Amino acid sequence: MLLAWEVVEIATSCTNAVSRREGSRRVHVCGTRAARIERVGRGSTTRSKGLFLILRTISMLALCVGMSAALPSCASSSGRNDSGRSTRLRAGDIELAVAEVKLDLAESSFITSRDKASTKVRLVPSEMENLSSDRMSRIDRWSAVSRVLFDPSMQQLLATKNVDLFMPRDAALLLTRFGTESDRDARVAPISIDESPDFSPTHTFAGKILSITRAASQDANAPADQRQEVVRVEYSIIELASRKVEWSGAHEFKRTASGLLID
Amino acid sequence: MNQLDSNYEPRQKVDAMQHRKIGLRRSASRAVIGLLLAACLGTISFGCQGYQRDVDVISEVRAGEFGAARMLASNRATRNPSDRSYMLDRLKVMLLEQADGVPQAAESSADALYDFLRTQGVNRDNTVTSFFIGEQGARFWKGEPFEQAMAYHAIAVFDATRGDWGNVRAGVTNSLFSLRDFSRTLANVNSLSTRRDTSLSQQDWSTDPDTAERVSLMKTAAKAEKNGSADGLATYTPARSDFEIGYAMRAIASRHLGLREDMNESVAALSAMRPEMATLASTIASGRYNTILIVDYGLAPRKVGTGPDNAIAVFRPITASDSSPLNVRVAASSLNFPVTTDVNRLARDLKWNNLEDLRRAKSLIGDVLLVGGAAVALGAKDDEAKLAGAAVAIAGLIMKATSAADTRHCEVLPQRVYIAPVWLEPGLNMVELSIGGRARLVIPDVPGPPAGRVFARYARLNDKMGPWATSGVVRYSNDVSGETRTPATVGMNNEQGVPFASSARLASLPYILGGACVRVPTDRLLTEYQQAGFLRGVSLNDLVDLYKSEEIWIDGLSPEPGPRRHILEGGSSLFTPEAGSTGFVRLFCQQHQTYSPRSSRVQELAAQIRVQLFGGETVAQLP
Repeated sequence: MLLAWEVVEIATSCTNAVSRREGSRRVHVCGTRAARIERVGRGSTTRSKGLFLILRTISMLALCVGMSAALPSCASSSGRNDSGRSTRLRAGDIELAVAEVKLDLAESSFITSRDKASTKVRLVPSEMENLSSDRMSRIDRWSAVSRVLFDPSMQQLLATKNVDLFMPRDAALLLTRFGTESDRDARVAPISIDESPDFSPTHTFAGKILSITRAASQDANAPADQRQEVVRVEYSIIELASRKVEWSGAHEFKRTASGLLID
Repeated sequence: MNQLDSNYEPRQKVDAMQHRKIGLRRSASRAVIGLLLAACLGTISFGCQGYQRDVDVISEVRAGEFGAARMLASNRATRNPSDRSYMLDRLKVMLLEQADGVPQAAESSADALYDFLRTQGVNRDNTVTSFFIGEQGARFWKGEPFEQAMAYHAIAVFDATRGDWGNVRAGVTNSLFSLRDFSRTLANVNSLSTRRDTSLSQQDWSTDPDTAERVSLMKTAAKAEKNGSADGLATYTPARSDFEIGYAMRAIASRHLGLREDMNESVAALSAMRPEMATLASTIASGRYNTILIVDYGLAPRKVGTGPDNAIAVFRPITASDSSPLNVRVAASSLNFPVTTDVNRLARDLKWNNLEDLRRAKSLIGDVLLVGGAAVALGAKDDEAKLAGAAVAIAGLIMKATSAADTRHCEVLPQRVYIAPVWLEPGLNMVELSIGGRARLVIPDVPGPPAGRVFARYARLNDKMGPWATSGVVRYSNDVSGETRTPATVGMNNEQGVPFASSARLASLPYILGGACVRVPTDRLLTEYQQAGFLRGVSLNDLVDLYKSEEIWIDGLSPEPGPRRHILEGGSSLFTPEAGSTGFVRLFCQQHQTYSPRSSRVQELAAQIRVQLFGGETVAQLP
């Protein structure tokens, strides 16, 4: 490898090489090093020039072969999961949506019009419905709703508004198993109503994620290499008896990625 | 003269020194050239390495032995995520795990694979590298477009069997990407071919229509490029996907999610592209089904290098295409379903191939350089030109050697896929699948879904499956069937070889203790064992500890890494494969070896049970 690099060095330093004739002698000058090599006789001179040519050609190949050994390892680290190469949802996207929707809910008339003396609301979240163009794990879908309701500040607020929160048992277990539950003290809904006659949700907190995909290329003849995803996360509180939507909120964001879709 | 003479000697010395330097440099250069030539040879040999299909895995797949196949594939898969074939290995393992009915094992592969498929420009940085060491060594395997679509479909099947229709829709939507239609370029090729192209016709590969088509396209592209006009490989019409299975699955998922418009669009596309599927499309739209059977058959075509410098990749069928329908018998009804997607067709279609233009251009440049370089080297009058020509020829040789097509492919993909929406009654159903008299699978105990729900079941058929495929009798108690009525696992014979004890009780005795029950331990199951007269005074923890002492992985109770080979097949995992899967049938519809306990605790308990049951008579394997 060292030898190869030496050759590369010679070749690159001789890129400005010039030949000139001094009487019967041909003088070959490597410009950058100002190295002066003089040969006697035409044969050796042409061999020398040939040698430089061959060295230059092969050294460039050597450089490329050497680089080819190095490039894959570079590519391996950058080939996948790079930002800007995928429009897949990230945890941060959901966090932003959750933060915005929490504020929206806190300021909504559904909350502000209530107080401690209002009729009790038993609110149960349901799994977020994925209508987007990307897979979303079950844990992410549950997290996206539980993080709105089971945020400590939101729980405090809801407690002052006579709103009880319940978490479906399966979902609570799932969230606990993955260590993403917002509050370990959150009340878990019983397995069935038979076990607890008091448990009877009046409202459900539902979420939905939708997206619109656009794929194109900068050059009309080239395969698509740009993808844009406009994602909308919607939340709503529905009164179960009347199916009336008591509150709804949404957050939109855009994600773009470049690089050949097919590759 | 004197001055000249006086200068002459020192000049001679200088020359001598310079000659020595030149001599040293020449020696070094020769050494360098030698090393470089060796490197070139290494590169050439590296470039010539083709993809080796895993024949052992293929052999197991043909026999429907997906348990053995998935373990082989898993053990041979690279563990290095930066390996260029990492995702190819993950896809193979995932497909085999699905076929074996163990989605819990396939989950991590499905997630990683989906993430990878959705990442754009994975090989963006590998252009230069692939030029010199060949695609196979430089590029991450992402598969031809049809392989990518099939991978998305496989992930959607995984989600469908778990009832996750939102993810199914997302997965298959990604499989319906736009394609590149080169038919106009090919039409130009055909119109030009009246002037006979002798260079092409002299080659053997011209007899193969697929290769000839590709060579024509490549030559047209090269000529166009040379003439300064638009590159033939860039002259295409964007075409809508004709991935039938993608539309069918999207229609099913959309219907389930209540997205009527989406469903209608998919159903219309399916009917328009394949009129013979109009009935299937209308069944999907009608919703008169509660179970979707997704059935794979055969093996996908093999990818080989052909044409000049083996630079052109073509797919050769392994399982021949035909239009044999899938016959599904459920109770008294018998229905036929057409082939939804033929993978041989996709592989043959230029639209569904990547057409690595760099590879072809590289091959072309290699040819040009080789011919030009050799010609210069042979015909030149001076050394300089000869050396320059030789250098160019070496460069050409390297490029030729590395121009061979990347022949990596997923050899365990199916040849065809069927979609069969059927109605299953509540409770357990017997479902019989057959394809043209070549492959038949009788699946007992397929649960009908609860009212208002739609379940997806996945089965994979092959034509060399063993007698277990058609026995239709569950021999082991499992978590889907419950207690089996025909536990013929172990026979209880007296010394004269005459069965004297009812084997029915064995259905409620753990397999590791000599019985025929391979259910995951629960309180309820322990009660059942105890009601049958076994394991009295044993707690659930004690029962789980028995499995632990045998180092057995238990589904739902043991941590990662998930199920490996089942204990019935000599492995160390206790789980029930997905109902309706080929793995379920293979595992429970044939007789397996009697379990040999390893721990003294289980050995003693098993001996006690034998005494308790049969007064010390031996427990023998039935023939």
